[in-house]
Amino acid sequence: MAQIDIRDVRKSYGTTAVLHGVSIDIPDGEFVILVGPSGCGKSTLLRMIAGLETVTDGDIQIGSRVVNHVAPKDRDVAMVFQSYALYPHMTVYDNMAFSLQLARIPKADIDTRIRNAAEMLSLTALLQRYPRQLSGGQRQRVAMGRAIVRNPQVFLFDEPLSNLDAKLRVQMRTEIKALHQRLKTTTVYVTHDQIEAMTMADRIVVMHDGIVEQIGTPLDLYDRPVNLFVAGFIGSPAMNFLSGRIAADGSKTFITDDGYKLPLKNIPADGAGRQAIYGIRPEHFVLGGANAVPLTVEVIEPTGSETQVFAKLGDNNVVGVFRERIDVRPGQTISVIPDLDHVHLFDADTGARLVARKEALAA
Amino acid sequence: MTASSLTLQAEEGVDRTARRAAFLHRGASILLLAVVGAVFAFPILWAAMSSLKSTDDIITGTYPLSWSSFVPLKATLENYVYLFSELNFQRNLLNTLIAACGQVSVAVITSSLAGYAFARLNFPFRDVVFGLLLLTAFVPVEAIIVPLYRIMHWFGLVSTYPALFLPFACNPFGIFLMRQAFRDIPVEMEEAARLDGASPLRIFFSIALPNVRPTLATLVLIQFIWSWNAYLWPLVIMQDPNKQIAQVAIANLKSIPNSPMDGPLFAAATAVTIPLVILSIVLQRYYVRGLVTSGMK
Repeated sequence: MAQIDIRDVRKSYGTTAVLHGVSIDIPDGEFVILVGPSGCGKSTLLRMIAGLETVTDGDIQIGSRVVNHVAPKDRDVAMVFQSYALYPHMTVYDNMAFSLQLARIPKADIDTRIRNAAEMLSLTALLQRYPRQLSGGQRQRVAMGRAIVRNPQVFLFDEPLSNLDAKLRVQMRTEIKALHQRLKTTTVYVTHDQIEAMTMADRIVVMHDGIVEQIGTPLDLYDRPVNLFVAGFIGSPAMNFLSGRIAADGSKTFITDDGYKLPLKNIPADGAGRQAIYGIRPEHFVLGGANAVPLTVEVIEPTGSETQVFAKLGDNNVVGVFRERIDVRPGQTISVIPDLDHVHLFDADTGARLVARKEALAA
Repeated sequence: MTASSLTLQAEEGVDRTARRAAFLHRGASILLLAVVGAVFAFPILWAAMSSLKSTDDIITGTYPLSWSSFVPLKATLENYVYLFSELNFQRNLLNTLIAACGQVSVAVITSSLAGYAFARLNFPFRDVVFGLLLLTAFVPVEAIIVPLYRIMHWFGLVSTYPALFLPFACNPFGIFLMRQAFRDIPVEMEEAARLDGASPLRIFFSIALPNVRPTLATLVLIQFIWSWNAYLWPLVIMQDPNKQIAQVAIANLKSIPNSPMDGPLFAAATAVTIPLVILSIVLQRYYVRGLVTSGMK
């Protein structure tokens, strides 16, 4: 096991820069997830850690050595690919044995390692099968088995669940997390699915357009997103954003562009009269109450455990999620108030989080 | 009669019509395929039938055409006996086999290595070189036969077995075929092998090559057929009659003055065709898959 230090890493293809100075410290044994939309550079960064892409600038350190110019096979990392990348002409056993044979490990040791990994992943009965004879989930497990038998310092996962159906994805998510808790190997995992990131990671790195937007624990990102991008990316349904300004008279009120007044718990320093974006997560609307705002319901989606309401607040589309079973029909109006403890304010120009006075003092 | 029974009858009628249409469609397809197959097979079968007739019977039975022109009424193996005892045709067949195996071996090695390089390795002017290589496929042997002969002469290879296949070691079609097959292998599979600790050569032999087996079979078959059917180049380069290949030996049978050799000629044509037919049947499964896809799923 080892820590990974990524220091001001840049990557360019010709004149096209895809990573613009990324720095991340991953302590030994941590499960870190790189998350972001397609094209944000997360897979490129993972491939650079693996040694499959060269580093244009900066350093990648695994354990105590900088590995910029170390061949992939000498980095002591194992990778699970999106397409599993199993060798179709080899049995499950041979797929798992290939790297160990290349490392000239004695046959008996290879056998022991494979059988241990197979047992851990419920693959024992499948060892003599070929990849084409396996289901998607089984192939995924074989790909993980192939990584585990090497007992590497670092596991790298490149969107390993994206080819699986929704049910299997949930199951494999739990299995991968359980595996990490058991092996405690430093893991870097790439996904564009923020639910996967939230449920599995010790820490999440949110990337966008080749830069790191925020690094933090899942709940950090959820509760204190540093900018509009992170706020909108983390959470499903996404956070509601309402454009407007903080009341100029110093009262704790936000006035939307179409004139609705929303309460604030605190206002940032120099906030009075400032143009801003008001952010509130769908589950942080509370039904009724004083100073409630009216939402005109458009679509209702009950899921059993909660009800999602897609509605309009003036010209803005708003989503609300309620634990209560509300009896409302499209076209009707419901009154809601935001939970003041969970209101976020962002600068209208930069998108950066506006820190309330209290919050700034606490930080 | 109730409404429901009427509906049932109508449905059965529609069903029967659809089945009849499907049956007719299938029947017409089979008939068409049979006709095309017969057109292709007829000359081969006629040659095989004629090889069982004496030369006299062949000549007398040709005009006017009759039933006996096609079917050997007095079947005999005398042509084969003469071919293999007097003319020592097995020697020519062996020479053809040596040339074909040589060409297949060399072409498979060079085509797969070069195809892999063009598919996977990055080097300057890769695509330009590949384009130029493909251009050479359009140059007929007749156009380069004299310089080829001179080169073989400089190397002292005239009338040797390697001269039969070495000029065709670099085969643009084979390289193209293998390049396409290697390009179809997911890059991730090779990257996984790199992470597993495999060297480029190990990746080529242990990962890439086993996954293009159908294309390799196609290449083997095509190269074998090309070499087996070669005529002009062996005629020019092979001046030792003991090392001459079957195709040239067959042509020589027609050039003996005042001595018709039609019977042995048909026997030789049949004997030379049989190995190709067997090889085609054995490799057919891979051959079709190799041409249609790269064999990867």
